[in-house]
Amino acid sequence: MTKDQKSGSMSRRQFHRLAGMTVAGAAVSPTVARMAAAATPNPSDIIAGVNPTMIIHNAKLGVMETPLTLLRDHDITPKELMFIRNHFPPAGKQAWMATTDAPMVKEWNIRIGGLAVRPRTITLKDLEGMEQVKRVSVMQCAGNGRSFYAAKAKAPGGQWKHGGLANVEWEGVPLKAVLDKANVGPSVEARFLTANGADESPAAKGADLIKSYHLEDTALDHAILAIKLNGEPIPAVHGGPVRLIIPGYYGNMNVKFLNELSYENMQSPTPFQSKAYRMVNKPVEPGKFTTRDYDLGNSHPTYGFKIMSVIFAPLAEDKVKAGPVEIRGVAWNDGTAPITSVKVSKDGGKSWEQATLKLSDSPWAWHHWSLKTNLSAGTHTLRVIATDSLGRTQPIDGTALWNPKGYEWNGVDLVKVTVS
Amino acid sequence: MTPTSSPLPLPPTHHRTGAVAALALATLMQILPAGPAAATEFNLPQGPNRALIYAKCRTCHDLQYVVESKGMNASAWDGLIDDMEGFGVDLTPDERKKIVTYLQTYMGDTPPPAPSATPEVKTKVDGASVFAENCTACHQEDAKGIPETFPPLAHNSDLFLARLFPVKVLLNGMTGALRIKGAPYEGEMPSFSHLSDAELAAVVNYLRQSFGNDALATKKMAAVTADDVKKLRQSPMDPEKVLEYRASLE
Ligand code: HEC
Ligand code: HEC
Repeated sequence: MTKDQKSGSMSRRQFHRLAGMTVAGAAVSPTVARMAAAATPNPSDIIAGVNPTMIIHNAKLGVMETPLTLLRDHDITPKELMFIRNHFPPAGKQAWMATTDAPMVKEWNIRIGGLAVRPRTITLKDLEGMEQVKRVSVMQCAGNGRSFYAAKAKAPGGQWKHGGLANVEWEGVPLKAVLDKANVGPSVEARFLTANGADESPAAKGADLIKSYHLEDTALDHAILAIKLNGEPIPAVHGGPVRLIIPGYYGNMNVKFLNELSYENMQSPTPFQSKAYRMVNKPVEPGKFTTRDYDLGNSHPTYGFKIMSVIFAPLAEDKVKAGPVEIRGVAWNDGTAPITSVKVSKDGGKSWEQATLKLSDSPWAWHHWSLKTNLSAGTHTLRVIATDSLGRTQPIDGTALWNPKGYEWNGVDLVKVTVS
Repeated sequence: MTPTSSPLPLPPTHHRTGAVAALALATLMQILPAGPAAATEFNLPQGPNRALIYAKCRTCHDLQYVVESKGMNASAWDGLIDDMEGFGVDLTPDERKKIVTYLQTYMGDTPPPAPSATPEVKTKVDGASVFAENCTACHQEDAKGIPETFPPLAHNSDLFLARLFPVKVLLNGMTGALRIKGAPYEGEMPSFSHLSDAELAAVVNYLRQSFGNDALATKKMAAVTADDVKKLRQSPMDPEKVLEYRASLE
């Protein structure tokens, strides 16, 4: 615990000034960490309760990713290690965003309306009174892995490595059950369900983060209005008190601080739907297509996770002794088809060996894989590639899917280890 | 503030090695604050219209997004500002052009080898333009602020809490929960220590005479001088200490 937490004062904002130093500290180099330590920057002073070695991408908003050296230690990611990516705080609730403690709310309303005959409001209490279901699922930022696109051309924003990733247990009420119970009577021209949360841009003419989904989207069949994360009320930094969870969908699609669902005949005009968080339909080239060129016809929202696998051990940071080693990690996809194969290469991709895959009970969770093998002294380039039953797999060179905002990275992972 | 001393290395490739981590780190380190006076902000490379980034780009997020995007090509920066305008950044065509040129030049894929070491010095400083250029993204053109988010500087007697109080706010920033004209705020006033002594003095004097504030002066206060600002720069404060100091004056 830091001095500030003990004294109970607001510590989140005090460390804004140290944003730069925090980055240095988190990037882990002994010398620099010491320099930074003089100024005691610490992610857990920006958001009380997070692990102090989280890697900051934006101190003002508390955006941070998880170092893989810690992410790998848990099957279910604890909240202190879960990456955080927020755009704006809910209006007037900055204090909620300074801690991983869940906000103390007794009342929370979700308005269900739009093109509906009987618009109505359901409450947190209503949700608590309904039958609860669990979803163990990967939560992943659409920008996870963005930094790796820089090998082709730099994409804007936080240069995420693999740490915009978590595997957690959500609990709540199925979206369909809530809509049935509310019985608002969507009109025939309704084509989209639109979700909005309580977060608001601080700017006078700021855009709101709103998301629209096709009504026939089958992913909605598994969606829940979550009120618990890993068995506890959801911290606001992860979208509490109520978050729309669509298992298998990229983070931004899972609307936080949910307070409005509406039936619409077109998707929301907010740039968060029409310009940002979109993936191009066809490959584009840097310099020829920029973020401004997105339109509804040439791109689609970042829906389901692309199939992906990551090496958890050994990592470049690990000391590896020559002889028998276990190469291990996780693989995941959008949950619509089982992962059938994970292959590992010790020679940069020339030859591949089948890893042992342990499928999780939940199709949306990450699945652990491992390969017991031998490594000789010297430098080795480890790679891993996953395939699912639909034949979907990962590009050897992930930059083939380069896109201006650097979303949906799923290039075959590459770790260089030195074995002594 | 010290200008960055050398060009920044190219962005890392996607190979996950210790060497790359160190390189990425070096990239950021060179933009890091150099000393306590500058410790409040990312130190962007010196160049024409750099102040516009501090003025227009800290309302919604801090400047780490800009810093981490260093190395993007010219068209990407141009397109990105369209995005930001879509999110709600309010820029005149002239401001837009200046911001894009700055970002393309100093944060682009071919930055100049050594940024010019001499910060811009404006020959004629006038408080009204300093305010319009640097403060209106948050406090708004009429200085009335935005409810719950950015406090008003119009009809605000706090400007007279102490002669040098607003200067301390501007040099160090101020963060934490407080009440202004009865309403609660809990935001971050970022540091403006990148502006010159004369500019900071001018904006304080201007605010005290404008937006209905002149009528609120309880006692006669001498105008702030560039020399006052220069002296205060020597004793930097933490932004939350500025808030404590403010509380001691109330
Ligand atoms: C009105 C609010 C607002 C202001 C003011 C603002 N931005 Fe942003 N900016 C955003 C939002 C929202 C995002 C995140 C968008 C996303 O995740 O897709 C963002 C993200 C970014 C990114 C990362 C790239 C990305 O799309 O995620 C960069 C770089 C950036 N902003 C630069 C700037 C610059 C330069 C300015 C000043 C001209 C600025 N911003 C002002 C709202 C704003
Ligand atoms: C990025 C948004 C932003 C910008 C730009 C900004 N301010 Fe502020 N300012 C704030 C916030 C937020 C507060 C309240 C801080 C708090 O809650 O502790 C504030 C507080 C202040 C205060 C203290 C008011 C009081 O009643 O105590 C003064 C004085 C001030 N600002 C002056 C300025 C001037 C002059 C400029 C331009 C040079 C400026 N601000 C630019 C956000 C901003």
